[in-house]
Amino acid sequence: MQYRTKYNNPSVARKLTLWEKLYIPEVIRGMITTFKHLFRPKFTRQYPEERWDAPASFRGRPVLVMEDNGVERCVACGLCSRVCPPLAIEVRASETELLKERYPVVFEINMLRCIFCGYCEEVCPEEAIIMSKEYELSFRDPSEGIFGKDKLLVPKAELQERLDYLAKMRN
Amino acid sequence: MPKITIDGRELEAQAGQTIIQVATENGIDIPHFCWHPALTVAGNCRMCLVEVEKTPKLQIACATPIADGMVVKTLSEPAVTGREDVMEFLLINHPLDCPICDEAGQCKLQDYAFEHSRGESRFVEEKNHKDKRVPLGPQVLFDGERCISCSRCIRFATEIAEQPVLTFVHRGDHVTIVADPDMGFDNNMSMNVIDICPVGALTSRDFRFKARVWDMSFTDSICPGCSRGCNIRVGIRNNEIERLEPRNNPNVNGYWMCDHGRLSTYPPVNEARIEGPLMKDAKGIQQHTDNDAAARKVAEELSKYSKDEVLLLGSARLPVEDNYALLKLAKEKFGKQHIPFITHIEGQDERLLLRADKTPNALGATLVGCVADGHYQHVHGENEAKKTVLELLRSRKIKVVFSIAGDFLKDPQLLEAFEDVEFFATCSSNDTVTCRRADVVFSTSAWAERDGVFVNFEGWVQQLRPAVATKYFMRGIDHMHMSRLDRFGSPFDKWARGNKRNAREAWRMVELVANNMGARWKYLHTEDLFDEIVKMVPDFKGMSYDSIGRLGQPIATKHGEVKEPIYKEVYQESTERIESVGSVIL
Amino acid sequence: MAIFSDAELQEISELQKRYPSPAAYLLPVLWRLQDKRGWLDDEAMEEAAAVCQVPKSHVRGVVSFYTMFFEKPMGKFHVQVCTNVSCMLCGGEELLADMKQRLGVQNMERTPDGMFSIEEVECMGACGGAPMMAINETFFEKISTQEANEVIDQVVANGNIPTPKFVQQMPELSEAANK
Repeated sequence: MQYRTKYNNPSVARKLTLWEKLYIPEVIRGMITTFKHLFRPKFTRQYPEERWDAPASFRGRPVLVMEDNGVERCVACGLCSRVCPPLAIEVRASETELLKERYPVVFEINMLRCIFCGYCEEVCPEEAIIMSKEYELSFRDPSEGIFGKDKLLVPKAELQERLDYLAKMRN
Repeated sequence: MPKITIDGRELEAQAGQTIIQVATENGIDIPHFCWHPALTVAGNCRMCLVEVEKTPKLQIACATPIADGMVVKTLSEPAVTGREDVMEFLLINHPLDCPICDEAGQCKLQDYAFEHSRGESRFVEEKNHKDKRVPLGPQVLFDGERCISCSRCIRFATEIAEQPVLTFVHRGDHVTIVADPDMGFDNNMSMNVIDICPVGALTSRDFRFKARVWDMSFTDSICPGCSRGCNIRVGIRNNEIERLEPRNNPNVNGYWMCDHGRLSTYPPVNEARIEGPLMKDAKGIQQHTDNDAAARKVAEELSKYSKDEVLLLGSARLPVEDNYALLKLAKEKFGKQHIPFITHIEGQDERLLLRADKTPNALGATLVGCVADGHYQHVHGENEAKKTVLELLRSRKIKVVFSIAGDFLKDPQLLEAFEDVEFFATCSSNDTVTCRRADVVFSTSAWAERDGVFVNFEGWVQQLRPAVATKYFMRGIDHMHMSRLDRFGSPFDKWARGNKRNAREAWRMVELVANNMGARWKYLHTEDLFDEIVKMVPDFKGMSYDSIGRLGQPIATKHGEVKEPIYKEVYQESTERIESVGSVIL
Repeated sequence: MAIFSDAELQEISELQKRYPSPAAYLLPVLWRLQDKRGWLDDEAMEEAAAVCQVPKSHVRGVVSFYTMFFEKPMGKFHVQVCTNVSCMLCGGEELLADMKQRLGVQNMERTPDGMFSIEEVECMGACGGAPMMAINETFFEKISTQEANEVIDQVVANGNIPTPKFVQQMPELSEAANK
């Protein structure tokens, strides 16, 4: 059965005028629009060669802030893991001799599950997990999608822009 | 009887009670830190301020005795403001390091900061700094900054543990708590102070940073550490026991449990487990097998020998159901009226909880008809049973042994006497000396993986509940407690999958063996066996798993001092609260 | 029971008449102990706990609260300099600094020979004679840094505390005030 729409229903469809029936003028009008854009600035990016620098507000993959002494900021409180809507984060804590007492022995984010909502960043009391600018994520195997501390830790200096942005937006 | 009015409700009270006692009994929550029903009143946290009509100032509910006609308002404006002010004071020097603190999630200070605080502080100066991570004793660590000086631990040490080594020093703005440097807070009840500490100032060396409270599920169960049978809650994360904590049962253990039970009973559930049933091959090397093959082998061997050559060993470490099943096998197939079990008496009875008898169910096993190995007096007379197991083995008559639990071959005398035993089958959950000697090993559930009934030495019938799931359990379907990860995690999350072991209850193994010997038993659940026991054994008359409930029931006949049950559980500490709150949030 | 002699214990038991419970005369007992030993060590606290029938931890709590009980050894001559308002205005802080320099120790420290120790104290009730310094229980009032140094010289030379030059005259209490 064919559904009747207003375009194929003869009782509703509008009758075309002679000018419209001629068809050529409409083609010319369309070509004019096309040629106009030839001379306007281009938006297309030549992707792998030419990359996009995201603004500070961009939510890329979550990373852990590594302080200048090479230690993560994270105290393994587990709030990110608790708030994560798709249960993508696992944290296992242990004791350290450092002043912060507690650190994550295991910190894993399943990047196949992460939905880049940024809740982990928002809930973090230490500003230890933040959203980076990285958006290129591809894996050959699902197990590669689980990022451990080795992949998550990023030196603080590289994340300064986002940290400044957060400081600005929080107050 | 005096009557008082709290928040417009007229309540009956007993002379001499305090306002907070009356309120708690009637389900009115008055916030408090230092007051604990089992300790003396200190009245130093000032959190329980309430307005009492005709008194000029706010009164602390914990130390104000009631009087007839007293009108108390806990929700009036002055009372609420008063409590908010107290909270502000308490938080002045509190470090607010909740992300690091183990107590977060079950912390009274945290809860009250939400419920009874203004949410902001006017204190802008630098907070006091005190010592952190100070060991008070071998198990307890103290964080001076988090302490709110409620003195609960000091009172516990003095009044309950009777080891008065804790004290406030440098009273004033630098007040902190120290333990006597010579002794330290070292006793078998010490870890209770961690539970009663309303904040995270006292932490357990054993549990420190192992898991967050909101990641765990808590199952009510019974401690298998001794014949006291303290009521406990088992904290599980990712199908592994992280900690045990006491559960209030006024008839058995009150609010407490001992360190022995807390520390030594759960590692065997987590570690050194056997992976499945084992059977020795022709070369005498233990190989993996399945329960059916193992049971066939055991049945075959048992049938080869005469009644006098067979020794069936019950166990006071297992619930009554398993002992009953083995006894039933003994009666039906070997015509024995009683089977022995090996006792484990070690040390002396402690003043408070810990008993010399380190098995949880000696009385229960005796009640269903097992006979303790030469120790228990109320034994029905039978010649065979009066001999100890060691004597029996040394008489060289025993050729085949089938035991349902216990690592009794740790005892070198027994191991030596076992030389002439031709076939030895045992049930075990851990890789033990006994297990390695056995020809057939059934892999059985540990205490935290099953249900069952223990009878403590006073005759309280109490129930084990499964907290850890074995391969044969589905948490959701089998009504086990579930944490958030259990509920929402998928089998693809490696952190929600947990390690499920191949282990079943020992009575199922006995049933398999019996059925291979021609019996036709059909029990589906442990409860079916208990229902049969109830019909057969007068001590359990009229009981069921439902009637035993969370707080247990005394046996019908008198064994020792059995008090009437008091089904009143008015006071709940914060983990119990958080679970009820948590289920709403989830 | 090693520190108190029988006679002293007898004296302490006399105290019982003045106090409701043994725990209540803990302070006088501790004073006696500190007089004997110069400071309150573990053994002394144990003794006090036994005499007053309280846990030793309680004694420790009391000792740590009162600044005039010492938990570590102090000098034979305990120099106390007041830096409260009156003394501070009249040069108490300079006096303290000078004494520290003279004796070569900091606040609550003891000289290596065990002779002197120094403590910055709160008001000792001699504001009329500010600035003041006390050696053990002898008050030296309206004292300059030079005079203080002379006092120390005399202590070092003679081995005892000299008589203070200036003694504040207490006004006679009237009959009415006595009642």
